[in-house]
Amino acid sequence: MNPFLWSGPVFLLFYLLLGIVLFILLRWWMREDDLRLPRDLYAMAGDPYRIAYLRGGAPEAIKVVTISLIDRGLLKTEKRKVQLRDMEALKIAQRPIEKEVLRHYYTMQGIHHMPTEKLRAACVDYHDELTAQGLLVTPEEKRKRWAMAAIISGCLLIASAIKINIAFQLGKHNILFLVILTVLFMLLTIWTAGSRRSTAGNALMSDLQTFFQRVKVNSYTIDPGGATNEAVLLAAVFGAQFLPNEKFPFVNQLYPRTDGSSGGDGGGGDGGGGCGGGCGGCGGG
Amino acid sequence: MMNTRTIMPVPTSENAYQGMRDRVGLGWRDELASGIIGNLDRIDMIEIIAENLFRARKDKLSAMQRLGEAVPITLHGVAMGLASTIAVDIKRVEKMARLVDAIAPQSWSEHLAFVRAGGIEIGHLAAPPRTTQTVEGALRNIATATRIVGSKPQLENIATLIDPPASTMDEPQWITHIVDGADCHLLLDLHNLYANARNFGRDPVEMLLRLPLHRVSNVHISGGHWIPEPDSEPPRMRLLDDHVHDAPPEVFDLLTLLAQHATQPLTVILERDGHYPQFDAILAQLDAARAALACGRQLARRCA
Repeated sequence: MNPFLWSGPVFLLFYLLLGIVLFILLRWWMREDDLRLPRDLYAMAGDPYRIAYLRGGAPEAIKVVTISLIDRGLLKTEKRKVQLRDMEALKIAQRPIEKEVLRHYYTMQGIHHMPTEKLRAACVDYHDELTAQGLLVTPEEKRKRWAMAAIISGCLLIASAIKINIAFQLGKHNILFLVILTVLFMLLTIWTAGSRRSTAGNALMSDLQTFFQRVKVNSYTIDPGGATNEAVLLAAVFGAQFLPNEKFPFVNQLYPRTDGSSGGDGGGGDGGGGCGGGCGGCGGG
Repeated sequence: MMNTRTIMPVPTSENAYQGMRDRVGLGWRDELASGIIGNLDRIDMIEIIAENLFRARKDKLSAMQRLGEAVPITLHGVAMGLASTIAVDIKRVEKMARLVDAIAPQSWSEHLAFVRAGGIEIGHLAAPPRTTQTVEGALRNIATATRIVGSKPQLENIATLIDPPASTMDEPQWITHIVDGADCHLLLDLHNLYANARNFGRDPVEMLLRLPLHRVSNVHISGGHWIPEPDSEPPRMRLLDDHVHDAPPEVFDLLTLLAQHATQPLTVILERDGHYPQFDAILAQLDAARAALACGRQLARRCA
């Protein structure tokens, strides 16, 4: 009952199952390790910039801040150029990260997709807060994850190597599918272990996307001008591409989508997600 | 489905919630999600319409459960039809039971209303005749629901534009018989009480004071608007409890009165189902509720 002596297709099935089991084990271990400490998941949920950082790091946080400042008229755009409206804007903006972005566009014009070192530095507080709350993985947690991933990857590589060796000894060279499976599992393991968010961070992002699903579906009703925070929240939770083009045309100009499609579809319909409405008043007409 | 979930006992002077405080929260509506999530520090409780989650996917239930770890949640049913001589639909109760198990709310509630008869779903909360038969029917249904869900519901008074015909008791008597007989908390909807009083020429203060106020746990506040009564001569107006208007000052006055007379902590839930204002206006109403509660408690201390 030596699986390494099984025929090719049977061994491939065994290897596939082995890889899935080890992957589930990795996910389970990561989750158990993450959730050992109590966390106040929603303590960080009120700040769209923080949410954007949780979702996509400094580039996303800076993008959402920029969009918010443009929407509120503190930055102005002309095609792909961005400028400070006036020096008064620096006094109106209260948040340190907003002031940093405004200063950035005071000295430079145009959109830099990768934030400068100074802008990244302005996001350090977010990184620290989210890490302290257990929503981002600490360096120690990351080391443990990589160690676990290395063990799992090692097991799979060794299993693969043994089978390939036996196959060659038997004069068989059809190892392509096994190599592909091995590479896929390696990539999956690396991608999982390398996640910057903790299990709690992933849970919070998932929850926010669940709760704000209606905002996303009804994005066409969001008006520019910053009267509500729905535009910023939508960009923070789901990404700037979900803002409706018709009302936020500058988003597509400044951050063109690489897949060539346009932004939020402006379509309507009151469907999907969320937890619905109320009891419609009682005893009424 | 029996379990040993702990719920708050009906308060007596001996066990009256030592150290607990009044709370103010609001009903979850998707349209208010962004405001709610961004202001959890100003919201003491969230009430969720249970029927909206009966078919929810696992990720939504998990999200609600995690939200419940940040702020207490209560489930509010709208379609059980407990106050009826017709037996409650077991399947509906089982759905509530499964949801209670999944979300682990602090409490759950339903209406003292009937919603179906003769095999027809009304789709609306209707006031049954206030008779001993409907009291007995309600008690049977509440006992069934309690057995299946594993905890007692809070029972909410409803608004009605029709004074139920063939009634042999008035509203405060009828409600008292049911909540005392079932040994349950009362979820007192102040706008419903106010609307019924205004619509049928009664004194809302008198109606309030005749209720078993020691049984009140959660309180609903909301608003409505006046509509003309069709074919009335002379023309009359009726107050419609539509939940799409701000709570009127009279409701806050009733809340103050309630806080003055009830010794136990109260949880006030603001209901809003449409025409949503900016969230700051919602928060202002929550603060108004807090002020009304504080005023009532202060009056009680002065009189003590």
